[in-house]
Amino acid sequence: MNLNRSGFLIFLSLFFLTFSIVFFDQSKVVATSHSIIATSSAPFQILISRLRDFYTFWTDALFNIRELKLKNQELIQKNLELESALADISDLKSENESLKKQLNFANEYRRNLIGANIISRDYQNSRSFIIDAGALDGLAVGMTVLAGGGNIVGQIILANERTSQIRAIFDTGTKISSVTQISRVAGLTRGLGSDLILDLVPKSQDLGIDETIISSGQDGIWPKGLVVGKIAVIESGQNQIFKIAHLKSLIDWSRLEHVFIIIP
Amino acid sequence: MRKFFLFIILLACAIIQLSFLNPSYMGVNLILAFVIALALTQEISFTLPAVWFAGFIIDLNKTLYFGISSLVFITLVVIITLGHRFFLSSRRIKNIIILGILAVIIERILFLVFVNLAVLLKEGFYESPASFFNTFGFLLELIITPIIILGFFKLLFKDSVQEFKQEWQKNYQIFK
Repeated sequence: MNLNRSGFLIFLSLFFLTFSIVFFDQSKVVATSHSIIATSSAPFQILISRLRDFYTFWTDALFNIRELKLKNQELIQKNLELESALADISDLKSENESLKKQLNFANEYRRNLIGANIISRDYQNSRSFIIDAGALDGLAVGMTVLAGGGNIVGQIILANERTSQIRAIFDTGTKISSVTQISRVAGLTRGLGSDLILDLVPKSQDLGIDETIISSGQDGIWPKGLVVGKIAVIESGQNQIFKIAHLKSLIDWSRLEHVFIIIP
Repeated sequence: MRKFFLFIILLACAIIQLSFLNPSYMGVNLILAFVIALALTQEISFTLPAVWFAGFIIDLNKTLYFGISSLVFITLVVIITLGHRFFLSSRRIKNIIILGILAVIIERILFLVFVNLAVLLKEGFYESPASFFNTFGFLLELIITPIIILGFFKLLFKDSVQEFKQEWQKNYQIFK
């Protein structure tokens, strides 16, 4: 417990060794060590995350029976409405396809997806996840990760053999060329650590609360048409050149267990 | 043998922290509580290398540079050891609670300092301090971490902490 001379020497040695690791994190030695620790701890992480899923499922089921019942009734009603809307959409779809044929449009880009489970998360915020699929499953750095409904979760930043690390959309490293879905106002979505903003929107352009923001595909990194979030708050200061919109993600991050990776 | 057992528990805490007790579930900082408990009860020659290694497991799932958590943990252990020696020297419940609360705040400050130091030196910019403190999990951590530390003391370190035990019994009598 006492910080004696040897203790202080151990601290200094570990401190400078770790500092070197931080600064040479791209080196082969550090990457190999990272991969070894990731691979050897993956089975335990998978086991614990399965226990967590089991626990969450049953506690949810036990404590939210009433809520689940109400939600079920609501969903049945919504399903009926959607079925009638779907009938209209299929008419429009066939009409659209015949028009496309007449105009010689190229075939739409169809996404090839791989499913994976989240096995661990950054414990202080939701800026990073580890999934149980890796390079052996065909995953690689830079691939886009989605939740259901085409909502962007993030991007793969490290692909080990059987696990991969995802940088979540909230991370400060995230920058997505975006556009509002209806009014087609362009901007840049940036992560602020625990928030998302749509930046670089000219003041002359109008933004609406609850408007959906999608990726524009113009950055060549994020595929076009993926959902980023919805506008929650709009900021437009007198001395600012651009507007900023604070976005809310449509993903329930606390319940996110499964993701899909787009294979180019 | 006991040290090996404690090391395994430390690694288990790290994995449970990542795969079970993450922000999606309560935001309990189990690993920090165990690091503090180790710093208060074990020799620093064992605690430093053990928490250093556990930091790398935590860093498997951080977008920060690999090794930042290890830096934070070893520095925190030294600060706790010094704080325990000079300011809060007895293992009374009150002192452990104060140390627990201070450790949560110091841990976040250390993350802020080391992350920004690394980002600034490597990339030339820095991250907003708000993202390190404005989460609901931080407030929860301030309350829950001291309770978990007391739990660890009761479960794992009670033999080595007679003073704590007496204090616990005294308080328990009051509650009775």
